[in-house]
Amino acid sequence: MGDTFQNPQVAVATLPHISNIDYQRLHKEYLSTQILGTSLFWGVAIIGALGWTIFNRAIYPSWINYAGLLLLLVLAGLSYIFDFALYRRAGYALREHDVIYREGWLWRKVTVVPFNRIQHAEVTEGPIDRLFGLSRLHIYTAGGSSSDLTVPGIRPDEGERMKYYILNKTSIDEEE
Amino acid sequence: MRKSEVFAEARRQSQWAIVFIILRFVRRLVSQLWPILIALFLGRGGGGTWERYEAIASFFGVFGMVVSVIAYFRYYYRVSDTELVIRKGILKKTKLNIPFGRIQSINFRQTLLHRLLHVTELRLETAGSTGEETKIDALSIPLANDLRSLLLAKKQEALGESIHSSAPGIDSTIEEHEETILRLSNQDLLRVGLTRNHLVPIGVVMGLMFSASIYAASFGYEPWEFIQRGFDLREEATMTQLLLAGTLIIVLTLLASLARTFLNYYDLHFYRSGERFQSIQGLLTKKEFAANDRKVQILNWGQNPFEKMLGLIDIRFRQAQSGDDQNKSMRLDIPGCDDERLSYVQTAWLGYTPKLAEEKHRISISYFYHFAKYVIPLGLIIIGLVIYFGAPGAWVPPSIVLILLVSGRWISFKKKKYLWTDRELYVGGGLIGHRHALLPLYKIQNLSIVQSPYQWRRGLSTLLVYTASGTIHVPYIAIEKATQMLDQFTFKVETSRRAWM
Repeated sequence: MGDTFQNPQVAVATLPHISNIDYQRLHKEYLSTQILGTSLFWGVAIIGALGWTIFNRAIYPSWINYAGLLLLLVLAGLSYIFDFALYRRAGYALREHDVIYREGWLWRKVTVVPFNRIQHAEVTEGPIDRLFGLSRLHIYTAGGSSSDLTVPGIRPDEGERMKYYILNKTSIDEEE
Repeated sequence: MRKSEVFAEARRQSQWAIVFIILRFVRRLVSQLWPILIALFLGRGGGGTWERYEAIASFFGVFGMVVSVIAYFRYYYRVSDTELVIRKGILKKTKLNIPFGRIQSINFRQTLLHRLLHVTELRLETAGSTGEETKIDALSIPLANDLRSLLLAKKQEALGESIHSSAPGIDSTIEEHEETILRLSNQDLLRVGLTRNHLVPIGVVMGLMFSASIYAASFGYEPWEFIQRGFDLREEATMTQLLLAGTLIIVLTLLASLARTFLNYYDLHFYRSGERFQSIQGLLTKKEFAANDRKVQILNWGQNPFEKMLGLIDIRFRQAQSGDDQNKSMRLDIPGCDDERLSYVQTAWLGYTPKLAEEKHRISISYFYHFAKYVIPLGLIIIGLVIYFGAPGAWVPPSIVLILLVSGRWISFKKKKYLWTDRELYVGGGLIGHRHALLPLYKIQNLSIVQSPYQWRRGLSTLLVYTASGTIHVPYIAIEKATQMLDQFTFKVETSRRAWM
């Protein structure tokens, strides 16, 4: 820390702007994993409801059963729409000095993690991810678990390359 | 003998450490086995053979003694050329190597027992992902002082920083320049105690009184009877009773607050030493707290209405930590400061005086409207239902709750303010009192902008600023402003070469 502290003024208008970013979409297979998850969840719920309807036919009038089933179907349909919308909005971007991840459709979130604040990064593959040839990149900072970033829906080799890019950047920043 | 030679060989703690090891053993035993202990205790009353329980108890007692004594003899510490080495463990042997550069702070802690035995506990805070605190149970005070100054000197050496311009040798005691910021006399303590947040003690006092009255009632004793009899007004006395009970609660609460204040802050000495803030305080347990400038991520200060009347300010240093829980020993809270001391602390910590006097930004009034739009109709529906179905007068409590909720939201809207310059971010707010947070931008870890459906339809957003000691929210601000702040803050973080810790 021998260098003198410098603090040149920066015009705010010239700063890199987060609104002008082309986000890299997640792979299509990620949408498939989400649809698979949704189908499993609602499949179980609807089969359960059907079974319940058949065994309790005598107790409740049939319109209640049909209304219940219809409601489940509508909710399941909405979940698929959600999956699609969430997939369309999710995206990441690597910049010279940080990584950005955008997620959420109704509740939206954009997170920026500067490379020189990254503690470590890792690539994981869950069983469903592996089935579709995908992996996830996790990025950890000291900002607490709620601020850690996970980029899903990327290829394992992309994940590894991104990880090395990031870690390489991290060490360069530290040397400076 | 030179200090480094004294500690170069493996040393044991003071013999008194055995006492603390035994105490810890007992505490752990009780905290893990309390259901069994209660069962044993009750079983004895139920006519179980006394001898057997006695035998079990004495077995555990003897076992604990033996284990503690062995643990004491198995515990060694040594200062090598590069690190502090601690070896311990009976069956599972542990060797702790703490490189000097990783030591963050070294604090003493003396419980009443420590003080009676003229020893002190030494706590080491280290930087790193484990975030664990290392401690040596008992050292004689001169030895502890020597060890601390040796470790601090070695640490400075390891970090390659000159201690001060004179750069004394490793074996000379570091005479770090100490500047007293605050000392609390008993009179100050009284003022601090009376203006504390009484909500916690009032809860405790009322809870205690409630359980005491139940306990008394279970013995067929009516606890408030003496008040009734005292006035001999019976039924008409309800108002007087209420007043008396109220006075009693207030007096007890004040006493509890005062007791807490004296226990925690007695003889408080808050000072600046080198590049850290430090305090020594406590009546029975004398505690030392330290906060290194680098480790402090956020500076909080605040006032409740009582404190505002007397011009008192609480200062809290929020230090970086691993894990999500706010470790209590890492928190440095200083009550009873004033404006002058606050600005001294700010300037000393940042290295410059922050420009906080400027006009601060307000958040969008949607923060209030969005809340009121849902809560008021919902509250009115509930009140309507209660009026229609409930007992007469039952509408009063929900109405009060509704008024409190809405006015509370309005107050916190009015108080929420923020300000940022090219070097720091300030966020203020509060409900009953005022809370303020300040952080230099280079300590930011990462940033998020979040938007609820309501917010993005109106071009609003909430900015989340994550640091290593908590998240700061700037809610309901225009999305343009949030992106501007995000761009500026990331730029600052990415171009700053200062280590955030």
